[in-house]
Amino acid sequence: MVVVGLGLCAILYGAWMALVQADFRRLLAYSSVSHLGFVVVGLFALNFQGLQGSLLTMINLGFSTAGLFFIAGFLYARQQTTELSAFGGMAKQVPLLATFFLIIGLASIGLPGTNGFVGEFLILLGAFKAKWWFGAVAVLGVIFGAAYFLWYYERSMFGPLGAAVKGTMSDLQPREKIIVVSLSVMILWIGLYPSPFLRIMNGSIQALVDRVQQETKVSLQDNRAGRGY
Amino acid sequence: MGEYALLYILFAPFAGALALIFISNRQPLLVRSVAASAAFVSLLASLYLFYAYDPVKGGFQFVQKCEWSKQLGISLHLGVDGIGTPLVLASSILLFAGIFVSWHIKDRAKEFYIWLLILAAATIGVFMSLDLFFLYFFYEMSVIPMYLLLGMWGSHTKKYLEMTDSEGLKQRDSVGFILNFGSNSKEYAAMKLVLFLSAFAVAALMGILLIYKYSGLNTFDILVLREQANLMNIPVLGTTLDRIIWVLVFFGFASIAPLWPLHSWSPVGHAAAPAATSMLHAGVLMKLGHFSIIRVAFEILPETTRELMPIAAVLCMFSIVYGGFVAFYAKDTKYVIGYSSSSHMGYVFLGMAALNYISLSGAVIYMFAHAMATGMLFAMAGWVYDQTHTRDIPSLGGLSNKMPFISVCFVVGCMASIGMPGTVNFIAEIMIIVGSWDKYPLQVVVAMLGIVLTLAYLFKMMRGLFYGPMNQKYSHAHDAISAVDRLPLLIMISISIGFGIFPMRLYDVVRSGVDPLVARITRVVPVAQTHEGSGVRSELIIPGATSTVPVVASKLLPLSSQVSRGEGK
Repeated sequence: MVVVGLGLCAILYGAWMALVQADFRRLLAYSSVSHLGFVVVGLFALNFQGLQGSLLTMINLGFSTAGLFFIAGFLYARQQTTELSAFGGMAKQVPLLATFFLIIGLASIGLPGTNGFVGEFLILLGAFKAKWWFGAVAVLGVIFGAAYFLWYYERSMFGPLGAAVKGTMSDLQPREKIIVVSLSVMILWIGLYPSPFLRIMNGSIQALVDRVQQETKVSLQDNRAGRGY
Repeated sequence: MGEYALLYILFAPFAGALALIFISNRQPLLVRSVAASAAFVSLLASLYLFYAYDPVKGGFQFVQKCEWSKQLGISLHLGVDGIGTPLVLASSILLFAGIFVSWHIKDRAKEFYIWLLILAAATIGVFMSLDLFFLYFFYEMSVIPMYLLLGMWGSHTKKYLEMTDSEGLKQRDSVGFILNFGSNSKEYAAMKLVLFLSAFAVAALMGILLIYKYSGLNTFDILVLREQANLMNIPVLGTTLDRIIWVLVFFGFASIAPLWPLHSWSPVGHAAAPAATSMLHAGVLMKLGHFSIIRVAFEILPETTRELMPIAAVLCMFSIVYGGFVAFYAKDTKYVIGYSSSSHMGYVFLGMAALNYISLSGAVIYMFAHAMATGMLFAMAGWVYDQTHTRDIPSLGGLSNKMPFISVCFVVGCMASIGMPGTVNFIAEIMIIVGSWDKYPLQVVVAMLGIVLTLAYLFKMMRGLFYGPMNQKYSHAHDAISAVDRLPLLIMISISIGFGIFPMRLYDVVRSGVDPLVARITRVVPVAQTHEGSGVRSELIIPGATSTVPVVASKLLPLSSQVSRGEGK
């Protein structure tokens, strides 16, 4: 209960702080706080869907957040900073980079069809099953998530070409292409057909849930007065 | 091939979007033709769907089911009934027309078409989902692309353009600017739209998850839930659970419809959006709201719907009158059409609230009719904007000399929007009004007032744009001459007038979807009267309800009355 509360705080605080960051790496750090808040909520919902969603979200973060940090690295290599003021209108100059930035970013905010959606949906489902208001608070994070990413993306990639953007800026190198393409493939695979991943987890999660719920039952029997779980 | 029609309709735009990724922006013709052919496949398949749907059999047809996650009870379950079929058709017509309307887009055309195709495919996906998970999946998917379509290809309002000095640009990057209600930049519109719609989508999601949790059936399948879910009379928070779910679902989805207090994102969003996006948005995206309310609240919670639907009947009056008056005083072409759409959506809510055969069929036909009419108006407002780069009505005028074709089409569009006899809007409007008269006479009077208001603001706008003295600044404006520019308008006009003169097929299809739904909702005696709990069926109400239908119908549509009598359940 307390841990879920902390997780909910992390979701909201992370998302709210991410909204006002001008530096992309700081934004990513806060967005990770928010995403891991989801993981915590899912884990401590202590039911099947919540655990499944948390595990899947942890895998997702490996693709989407890591992907965004790669993108931040690419941006840094080009501008020696990830401050917003160094960008603007980049989509004209580096279309491929902008496209993959968008795909991976949308996965991180949970657009349906990407892995983020499946993970967040499962966590919300689990949170709802535990206590309905867990879910009610956690969904706010989804809204803010859409806000901070889209807003940053819009300011850095669209609009008029920023003054600091050099005309010689190069698009993705082959090495960078391999990284982002492989990440995008995984993102879409989990997003559209997550069954193989879920199937692998099912057995151990079921065992874990059985254990947790059995212990709950035992502890409930111990104090018959039953302050309620 | 026939049974897979839904898959073609849904996946053709996705396949088109995928193919576009691999095409370079340096071949604009190839980009456009790929997008157009994807939309064309979808259009052909949905015409076939409309032709092949069997209204005598009714129910859900062309059903496709594919297991997605067995553990959670989620499957990609597609199927259309008489309510979904015309809306799928409307979406694919508007997608096809929208591709041609945005034919001359120069800035990043490829990405524009990709997002437009995804937007339309997601909309179509909602209209055919029979699974709550996928309904939400496609619903959410149709909201996010709007941000990019507005933020990248949208246009600012006049007020915003006046403040693009260096100081104003600095302000642009602050959080306060996005939340500043007066700024009217396209970024503000996009952010407001996405935040508003995803916030309310999430409310609807909470309703959906509550249904899933408390039904205990471990399935998201609407067909199973509507037969077996028993959500009535579970006390929660001093009221009953079904009411909480109903309110969450209703207001969650009504925000996109948009119902009166939740409408404020819509005119701003329409004004900022490029023409094709406004068309799809006002034409079909708004109908996602009504459709999802019908699919989720009406199907799964019929008794609560009957109990709480008067809420909609009250709010729809405000929608109609408020939208109408604001449209009358607005000075921006797209604001006028945007507020007019939100006012016209009030009629749909009125038809839904009255909950009888005629009015609900009228509401569904109105959704179809409004898609065509508002699509035309937005397409033409977009054309005028492309030619003159302004949407300010007072500074325009006399354009009919320069663009005779557009001005004639505009007259037809206005007539359709007003509900002139001969257009399909007339049939829908009269059905809503006749159907709701018994239950909500006050609302019907207000709706009549709304029609007068529609007439006033559309004629005012028409006069302001096309007649009177011309501003010489716009002497370079030219008409839609090429076939590509004329095609979308001609398609929408011919559909609107075609169904206006021959409405029987549309009426039959819609009735086959509406009849079982209304029978389910109105057949059950209210819980409070029986003292025995829920689900008690009274046979007394049915004969009365059905016997009045053919009488009203025969007055209204003489040609179709035989069919409706044959089908009355």
